[in-house]
Amino acid sequence: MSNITVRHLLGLSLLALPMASFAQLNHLSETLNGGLTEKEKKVSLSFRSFDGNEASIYGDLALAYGWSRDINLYLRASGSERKTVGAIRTGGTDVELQMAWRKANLYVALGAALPSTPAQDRVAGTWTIGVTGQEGKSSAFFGATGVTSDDVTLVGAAVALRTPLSEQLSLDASSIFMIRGENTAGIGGNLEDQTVLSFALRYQFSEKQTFWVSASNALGGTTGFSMSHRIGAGFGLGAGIEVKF
Amino acid sequence: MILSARGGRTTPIYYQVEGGKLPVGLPGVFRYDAVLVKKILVIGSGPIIIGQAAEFDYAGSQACQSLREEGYSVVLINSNPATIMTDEETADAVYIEPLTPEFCERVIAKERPDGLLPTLGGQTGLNLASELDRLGILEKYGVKLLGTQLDAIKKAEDRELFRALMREINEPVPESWIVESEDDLQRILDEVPYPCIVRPAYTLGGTGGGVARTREELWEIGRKGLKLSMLSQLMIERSLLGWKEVEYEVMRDGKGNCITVCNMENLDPMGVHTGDSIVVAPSQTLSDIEYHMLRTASLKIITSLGIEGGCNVQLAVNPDSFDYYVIEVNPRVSRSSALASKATGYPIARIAAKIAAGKTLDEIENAVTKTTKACFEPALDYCVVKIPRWPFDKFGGGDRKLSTQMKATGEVMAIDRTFESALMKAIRGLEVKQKDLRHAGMALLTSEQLEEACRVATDERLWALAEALRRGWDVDMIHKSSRVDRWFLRKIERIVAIERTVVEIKLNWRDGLEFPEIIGRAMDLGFSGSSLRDLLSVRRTGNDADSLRSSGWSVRNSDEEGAVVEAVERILVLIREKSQSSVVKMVDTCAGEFESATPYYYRTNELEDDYLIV
Repeated sequence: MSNITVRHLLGLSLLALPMASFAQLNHLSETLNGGLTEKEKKVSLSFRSFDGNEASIYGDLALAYGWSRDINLYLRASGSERKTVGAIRTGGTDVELQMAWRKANLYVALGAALPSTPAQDRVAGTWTIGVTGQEGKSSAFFGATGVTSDDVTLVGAAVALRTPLSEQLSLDASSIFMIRGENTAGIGGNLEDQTVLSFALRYQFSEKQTFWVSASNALGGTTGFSMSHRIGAGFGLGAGIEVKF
Repeated sequence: MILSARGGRTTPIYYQVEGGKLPVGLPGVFRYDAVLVKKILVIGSGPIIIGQAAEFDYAGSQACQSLREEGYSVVLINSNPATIMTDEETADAVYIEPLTPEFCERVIAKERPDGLLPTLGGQTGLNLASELDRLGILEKYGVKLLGTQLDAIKKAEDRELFRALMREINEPVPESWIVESEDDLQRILDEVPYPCIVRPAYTLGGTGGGVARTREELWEIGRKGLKLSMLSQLMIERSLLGWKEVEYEVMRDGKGNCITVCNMENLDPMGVHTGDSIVVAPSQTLSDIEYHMLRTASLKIITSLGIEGGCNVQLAVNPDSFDYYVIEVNPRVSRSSALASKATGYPIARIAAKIAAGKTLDEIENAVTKTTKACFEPALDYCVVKIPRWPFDKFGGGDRKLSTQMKATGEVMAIDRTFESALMKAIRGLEVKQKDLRHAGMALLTSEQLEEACRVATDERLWALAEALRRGWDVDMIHKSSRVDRWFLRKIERIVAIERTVVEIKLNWRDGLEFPEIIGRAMDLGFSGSSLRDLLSVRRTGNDADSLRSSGWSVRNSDEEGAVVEAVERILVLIREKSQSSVVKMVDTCAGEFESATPYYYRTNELEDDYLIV
């Protein structure tokens, strides 16, 4: 119990940092945001804390830059301490650079990630493709996403939704249904593919600043970590802040 | 280069040459960031020596099988070829190499294991794992320690850290002094109370330790211990000579669930190494309060150390109060684990290996019942006695006194319904001259010599205690001299009493109605047919009146000659019938509460079989 408290305090202390813009729960959140305008920037910082077998904290930092109205650049980093959970060695960091192109309802993102994990230490390719839709303040994305490296290829069907609950409050939900690859394992070592679910309750307290609390069974914000289901059942609880400038 | 992989075998056995290279298998990658520990290195315990014998081979073999059951590839390094664990079927790759960091590093470099299981190769395995970690070899090759981590091992093995932890959790430890150099030793010579116990850190079977009764003895034992300790560290401890010594075998998983597998009690009081002591499982002389007090302490200790796997907690209990001290903790599968495993049917090493691989006690199936889980504490409906086997028959000039440094080279275990019958069965298993509690040498001792034989712990003390009781010495007096618990002495007294009754048949044979009762009682207490015939001075067949008379049978006149032969025949038939009517009982970990798929058995004189062997 004391460990959980310490971890949560650590996470909350990160929130105190003056970071900032539009909520990024995971890489799919971007598909709902409508993109940045030219030269617009945003920074988001978040954490997610898991209990149980994989008792650890994953932290995320994401930077976004509006290259043009249609093209945005993203630099994301996720990480946690490395640890051995039963027969599984996990954790580490992942840094991803991605370029997203939007035209009408089409969304295409391509990028590369540099993981440093027990499983990967070479460049991996990342991608997301799909269509976005908007009605009023609600938005949705349907498509596919994936990551490919020397050792593992993960491909999933992706769906993301945003529903406003009030002027400032909205609910994000996203899901990745695995089509190819194992994105988790049982504690005894049996490889499994599990659907990834993420939820966030976002509070936009100014035009440029958003805070959210989240529940997700995925690890973090990069494409690779977003597609990775935690070990065992249950959700990690987290929070984040985003600032646009 | 693989030099000795023979064709047609599933498991190659390797040895290495400089520059050799083996193929490296791909680890089980998944989830982008995670990798399965696919290949596990198990370190064996090396050559059989006093304090580290086949029990670690038993543990290591069980662990290898257990890990392979879970789908892991097991790489084994051991220098001892006379072991089951180096059999082709036990591991996926076997390296017969010296257990040194240099050779181990070469195996790691070639095999690239993901994990290392250090707690199943006894102290040798543990010490080697510590060395590999200290030299940075594990970090260099990305090898993770599975199960109990080195900091927990260090906390349990380092005397000072262990004492600090015990103080932290309010568990009592005897007053002691840590000595790390001869100067330290010199400084405390006039400070410590005598007698005191010398315990070197990180040694096998208490090597280099002992009981120091004088300043000079402490100087001598202490200097030797400093040289033998891996850390050059000794603990000089307040002597608890005469206290009861009790051990608890405890298991804990990564989620913090813990159970006690069983507890064991030494017949010999504190001052004799557990490996040299007669051990009884479960404990026989503890009250319920004491049992639970010590159980709680043991669970508290394994939890505070953060051990993941098996652990052995040794405690000293004041026979006259509820005081106790924590003596030592083995953060690994130990010598006692093999005994506890066989005594209860609970495979400690097998479960410890599965815990190291991340399973929890509630997830692991009890391999004996196949209907319960490993989180069920075993229940015993029998008594187990272990007697050490010393090599003094081969080393006649050896010092037979037993102390805190182990001298036994082996042991036997017996299971039966009572302590008496298990003790007698264990004596027969020892393969020594004595087949019961009679000892020709003891019968020749003077009272002074016998008193000394009871007071000083030797390999023959059990027979000295029986001889003293045979001579009608008072139990309290023998207890005062030997410090052996009165409960054990009374049990030995019962055996001696029936022994006397059997011998008296030679004089009272005319009252033949009592034969079935006496013979039945003697065999229930563990006398074998052979012992009874020996006590009665009769042969299996062909007894005649003359030979019976000359061996002490009362034959008053020639009219009784036929009757005495007839009486002897009746007794021999009774012995034969009783021997043949023994039943089979089972060790099933649950005292018959649940169905059991693969129990094992022992024979005893009882009324019905637990299970019919078809």
